[in-house]
Amino acid sequence: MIVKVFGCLVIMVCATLAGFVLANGYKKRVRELRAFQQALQMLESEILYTSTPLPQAVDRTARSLAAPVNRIFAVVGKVLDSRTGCTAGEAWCMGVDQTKDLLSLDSEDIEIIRSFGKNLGSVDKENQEKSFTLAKYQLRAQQAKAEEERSKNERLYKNLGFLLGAALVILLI
Amino acid sequence: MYTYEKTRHKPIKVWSEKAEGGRERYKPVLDSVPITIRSIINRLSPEVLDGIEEFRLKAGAPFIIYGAGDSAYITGDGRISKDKAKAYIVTPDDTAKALQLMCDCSIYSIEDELRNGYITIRGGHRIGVVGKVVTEGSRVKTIKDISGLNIRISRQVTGCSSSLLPSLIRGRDSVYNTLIVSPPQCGKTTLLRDIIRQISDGIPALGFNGIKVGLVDERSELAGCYKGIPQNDMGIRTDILDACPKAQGMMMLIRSMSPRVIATDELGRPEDLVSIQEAINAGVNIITTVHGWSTKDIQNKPVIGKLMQDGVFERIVVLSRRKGPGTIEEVVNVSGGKKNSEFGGTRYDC
Repeated sequence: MIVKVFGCLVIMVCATLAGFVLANGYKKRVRELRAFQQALQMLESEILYTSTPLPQAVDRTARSLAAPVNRIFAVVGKVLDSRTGCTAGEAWCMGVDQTKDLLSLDSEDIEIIRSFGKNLGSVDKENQEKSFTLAKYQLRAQQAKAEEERSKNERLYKNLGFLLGAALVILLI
Repeated sequence: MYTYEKTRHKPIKVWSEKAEGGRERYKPVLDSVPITIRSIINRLSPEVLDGIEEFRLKAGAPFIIYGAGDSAYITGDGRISKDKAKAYIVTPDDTAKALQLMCDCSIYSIEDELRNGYITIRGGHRIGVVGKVVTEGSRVKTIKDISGLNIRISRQVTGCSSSLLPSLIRGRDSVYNTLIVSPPQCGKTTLLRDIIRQISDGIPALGFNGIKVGLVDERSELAGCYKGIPQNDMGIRTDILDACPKAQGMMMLIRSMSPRVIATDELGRPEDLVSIQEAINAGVNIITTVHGWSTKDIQNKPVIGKLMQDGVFERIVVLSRRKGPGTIEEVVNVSGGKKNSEFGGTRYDC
């Protein structure tokens, strides 16, 4: 009997946790999208107002951000500093590839971030500003979408986890 | 006006082509070209590398080097060749990447430099840029679609002005107003750089105390400043205004840094005249250079001609590359409308 109760409890806890983890993904995506916008804003002011060379600018941005979003910037900084002949665009792609699995972003978000890097460091201020504006605008739109999905799904997944666990327990009993 | 008489002597000493640094000197250059070009340059033999003055990269054209008045194609496996067919053909991707790499992937930070058509990288090397010019009104805004790059190796030949200096200094702490006349690529900047370094540091052998030198480095070529820090040794008492228009810079230095000597490269704009006169009035000596082939040639130039008529310059050094870059054709002592020529055809040494 005790084993049965214990087993039921384990199932319930696991199912509920799984629900919470899934729900948390929605929360994290919103947070990361917001962090990216903030990061781009910082990088933009480094570039447009103080003309800081890119390796320093991305390093500074990386240092003032939290993981895992800062990883892209840290990778770009490291690649550029090592002077291996990579352009900023290539370094950015590497950063995105090395970071995307740690992020809760969907493929559309990643694509926006990736295409922002194409122009990075290879155009003048005027065009650099345009690509910042575009990326920030797209990320803001994605954030609105993510928030909507979050409000729709967060509670759903939390409840669903618990209920599925309960259903499983009932079936097994 | 002077009468011009050229005397020629046998060269005493020849400037050895070896400048300091070796392969290490090329590190900033290698860092600013894409991997393809980098591996080619890396495979060049040290003797070839040492004599190179310019690397030329033009999209769709062979990779060319210039040095010692000669040029050669470079093959894909890092050998020099006179056969165009064997040359490595530079791709548009190479030039586009090189432009990004040479400014640390920060094109936005070199807009001002790009407007002038060149940028200075670490080590003081200069890279000239051509492509499609974007204008705004009558002003050049930037250059885009870069088609060609010319990497000019900066070489500091320490001590190359030593044989010349006794004729340029006056007593223990003063110099004559000096004009260096030279055709392009005859070592004018190299010579001026070393003169500045030596008079700023002092020359114990000649009993010359170092004096304060103000340098207006409009084209970032003399000191080769990278982010404000001179990449060449310009002497301990040298104050440098980097990338500053000459006329304004000279005024600024006179007022702020109390120099004994003002040095600039390539004088010639009308506004320079006023500044030079201002400097002379302030008791500051001038060392400068001008493009030209002989003293006769420059007498007709508006600004320099006027200054020569006024008797501003006390010493005129004429360079050529008759015996290689840095051949001193003559040093003219200008005194009371008379001049004595010496140094015919010797090369400055190191």
